[in-house]
Amino acid sequence: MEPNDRTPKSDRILDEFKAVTANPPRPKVAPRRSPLRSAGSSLGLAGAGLLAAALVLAVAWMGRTSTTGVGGDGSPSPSDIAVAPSVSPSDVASPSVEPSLSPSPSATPTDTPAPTATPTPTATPVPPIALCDPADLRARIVSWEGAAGSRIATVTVKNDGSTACAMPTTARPELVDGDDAILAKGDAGSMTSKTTTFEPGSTLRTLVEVSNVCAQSPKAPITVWFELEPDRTLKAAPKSASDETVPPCNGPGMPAAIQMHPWSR
Amino acid sequence: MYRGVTTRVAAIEPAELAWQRAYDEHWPDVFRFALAWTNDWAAAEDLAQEAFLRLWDQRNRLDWDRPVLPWLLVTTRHLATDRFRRLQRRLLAPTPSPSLDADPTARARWLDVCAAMDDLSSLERTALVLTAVQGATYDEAAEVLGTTAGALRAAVSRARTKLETA
Repeated sequence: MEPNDRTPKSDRILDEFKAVTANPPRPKVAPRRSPLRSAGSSLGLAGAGLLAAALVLAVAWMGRTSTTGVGGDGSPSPSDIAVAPSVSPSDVASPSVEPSLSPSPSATPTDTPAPTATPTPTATPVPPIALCDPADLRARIVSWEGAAGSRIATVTVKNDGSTACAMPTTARPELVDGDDAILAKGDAGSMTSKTTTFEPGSTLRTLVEVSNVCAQSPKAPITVWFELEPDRTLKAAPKSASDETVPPCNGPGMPAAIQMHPWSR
Repeated sequence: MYRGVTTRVAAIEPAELAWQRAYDEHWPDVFRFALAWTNDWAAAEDLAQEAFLRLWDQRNRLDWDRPVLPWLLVTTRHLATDRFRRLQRRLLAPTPSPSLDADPTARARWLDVCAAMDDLSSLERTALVLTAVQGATYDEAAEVLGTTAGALRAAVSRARTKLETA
């Protein structure tokens, strides 16, 4: 950063952000899928074989991404973006634009920047210390943010105990109202045996995203609980005693959804 | 002027070419937006790629007469929020990126910025970057972030305060 004391610190940080991201790395291969229709007509049997192989890899990769959570379509809803009548196929078929079997990221998962899980030294399956006792932890919701059709809570937890303990990297989150009624409950699979060492006096934080809560008139305050393991629940203090933050009801016929980000420092 | 919002791709071009032009022109904007949202270099690369894949999938249904960058940014935000478990590999600290690790100087600079902005929420970081770095108006940024101009302005103010006092 420029060593200029008169420049506000925030501007210096932003200038540095801009500089660092001035030429962000682009993928080795443009992120688009193989143009099966336009390429197949001009490549013959060999091309068709390659396309089939690419398709198999693409399907395999799509399957893997769905298991890691990409599942649904994150594209903007119709209300977010205007959609025009389709461009006719003849308008878009352009061999000169798609001259070859340009391998898509789908077919080359190793080229993409690590959709695979990155091992972290803190994700220790068998910690040498005891699992954290919720009685020693103090969690609270520090903020709620709005997002498209959902709400995201930032939650911190402090280890008020006198010793380090093993904190599960994720837990089963629940959105709970003032009557302890569960408005949304995460997957049981959220509970993990992976833990991180939680030093006494230190703080961890996470993001909890909740969507599609259709309960009628939940009672304040709304808060989040974390089921670390069966019968061991960490209850976060609500943002305020009168907090009634719940996400909008996107579809009464659909279940509420809640999920958490792994705890981080 | 918010360059990205006013950039247009000619409707007479084939969708593939329009996509390529959007990719060439907007990759930095989408990456920077994703980076602001996540504060995680590798996650931002993932999100930006995913957004362009979605654009590719939708290329024949989009109105290319309209600015495409807002669509990309909204898609990126949806991917980052509605599907944010994709970022679970971030775990306890921002994950390294092969592309970034190849340049130790850039990596060190980024880690400084990352640390400085870590206390900001995703909304605060993104609001600040969209308006102060990308040149978006409050209304434009608010639309992309699915909030109001007033809330956006407040988020920018909070972000600046946090950065000044960090």
